[in-house]
Amino acid sequence: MVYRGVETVRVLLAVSDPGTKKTARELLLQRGYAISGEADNASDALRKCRTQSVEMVVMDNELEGGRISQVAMILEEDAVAPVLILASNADSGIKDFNYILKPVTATNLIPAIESTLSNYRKRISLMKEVERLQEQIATRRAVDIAKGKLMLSQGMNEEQAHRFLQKTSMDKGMPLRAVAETVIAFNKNINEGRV
Amino acid sequence: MMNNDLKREVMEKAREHGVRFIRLQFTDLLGQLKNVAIPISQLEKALAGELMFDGSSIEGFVRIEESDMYLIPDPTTFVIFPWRSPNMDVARLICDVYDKENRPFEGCPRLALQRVAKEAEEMGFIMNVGPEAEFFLFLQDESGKATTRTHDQASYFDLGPVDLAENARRDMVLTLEDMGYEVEASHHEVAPGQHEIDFKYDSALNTADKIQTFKLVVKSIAQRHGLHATFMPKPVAGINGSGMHCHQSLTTLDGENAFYDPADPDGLSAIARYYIGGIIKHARAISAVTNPVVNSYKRLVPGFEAPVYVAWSQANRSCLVRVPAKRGASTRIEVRNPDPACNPYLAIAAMMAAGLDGIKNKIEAPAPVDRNIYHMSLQERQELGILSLPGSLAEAMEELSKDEVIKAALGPHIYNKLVEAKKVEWDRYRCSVHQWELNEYLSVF
Repeated sequence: MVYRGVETVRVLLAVSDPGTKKTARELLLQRGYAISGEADNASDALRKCRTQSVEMVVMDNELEGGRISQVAMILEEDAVAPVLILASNADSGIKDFNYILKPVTATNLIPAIESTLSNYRKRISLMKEVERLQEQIATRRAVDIAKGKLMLSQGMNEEQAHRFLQKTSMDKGMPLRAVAETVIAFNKNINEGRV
Repeated sequence: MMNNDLKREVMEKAREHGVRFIRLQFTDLLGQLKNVAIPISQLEKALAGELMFDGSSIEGFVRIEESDMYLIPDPTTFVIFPWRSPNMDVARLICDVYDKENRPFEGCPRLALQRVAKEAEEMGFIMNVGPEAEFFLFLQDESGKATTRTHDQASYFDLGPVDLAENARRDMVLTLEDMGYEVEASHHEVAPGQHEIDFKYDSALNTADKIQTFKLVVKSIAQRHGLHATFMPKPVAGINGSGMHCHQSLTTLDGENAFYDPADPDGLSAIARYYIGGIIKHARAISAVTNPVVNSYKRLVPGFEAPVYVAWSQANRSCLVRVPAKRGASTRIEVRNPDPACNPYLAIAAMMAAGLDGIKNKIEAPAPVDRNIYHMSLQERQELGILSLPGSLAEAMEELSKDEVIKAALGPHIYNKLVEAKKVEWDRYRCSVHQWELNEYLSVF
């Protein structure tokens, strides 16, 4: 029976061992996954992840060229794609990543891929949220400092200073944070006698 | 700003960004970037210049008995590495090296450059340099080792719709921008797999610092894309090598471009002409520093856009020195022989010292050569007094040994260590049997 999911996920298969590769390929295709490509060694895997639209990487810990945990780390840090490692033992290097122990079977591979994918999506959306909040905090902080500078140097009250920053931002089509940082930098130069 | 304010700012930034490790960086004689990693708890001590390291293992540094050295961080060089490492923010500080009596160590290339820059300042000038470093992106093989195969030669199906190197280069540019670089241009170069990234000019010291960081960024990002980046001057025979043209100019202490003279028909000041005169005079000796490896001289051959002859021109790209058309604040000269294997501190120090010598001693630049020198005969070149750049590292070292100005710019310690290291390098090259010899002779004799 061919199972078709709602979406087709494109998987890069980075496995050197022919037996493991064949099993994994068949299981993935049966379950409606697409194989976007196959890589025979670690740096080939990195290159293919970067150039093909890969949505999931299944990587053998015994892949030639070594450094599997390093490759997984890079793919994770750069948010390229989620990685599932096929390991022969749970050594310390791969414990930080999603992994299953070989041999690969339908019962261990497919659920692991599904949970890896779903956790990855959750992580990405959390990362975006964190970035948004960090940006918000940085903007608030810059605006507060800039307001202080304007109140001190231009004799504005807080409301006027706030309005000034907002208006400049809108007039110039510049983000509020950039306006605030410009005001801060300008004041710093004045204080150091550079303007 | 006071040094103490700067140090406090560094401490604050490190804390604010959750930095956990600091890499104290310095450059050895041969231009290799070295690191001592310290945890954040040691930062205050490091900033106070109290951290020692064992210098005896560093190329060209010291003898065993004087191995204790101090690293004195330059607080203006504090940068947090932008590569995303969850929970592990790492920052760096570039350092000068001091000896155990806390005196500036004469084997420190960064201090050598500062010495020459100080001399320039006493003459009323600040040197600006804008480098154009070229590099190759090669594929790594099955075992992760570098090859000389480029992705351009990889088969179509090997790669997807995205250009791998293009992608990697974009990542490099973004990373450099995150680190405060103003990237001015980034493009594929003439040879397959060859790339160039140019960033905005800065003072001599800042540019040398930036070149070192630039190389680190290019190499690290390439590796993250399954590629190997190399700054080797001529990795593949028969195609263009990688250079690092250095645009340079002097500004006066009040910020005016000292190379510009609106009254001159060419818009070039006497200072600019003397500077060019100095570069031309010392070019053959400078090469030992700007083109410091055996392989450098395989790039300096006719036919591949690399300079071979010691001459200057306003347009001609076959010359050692070209004067780009821009005038006003952008008036500058472009020295075309340096390659990215050089130690940027020493290379810039040598070029600056040559230019300053030209100004001090009013060395007249020869007449510009606007014809393509590659097409001239030996006799024509001799009549015009056009010399060639050294043909080998040995010849360049020989030239350096006769040039007291460039030797003084390096300082005796660095000069002697350089001679020692280069002699060994040349001997090893001379004594090995190369593939070319086997191809040429094995079956013939």
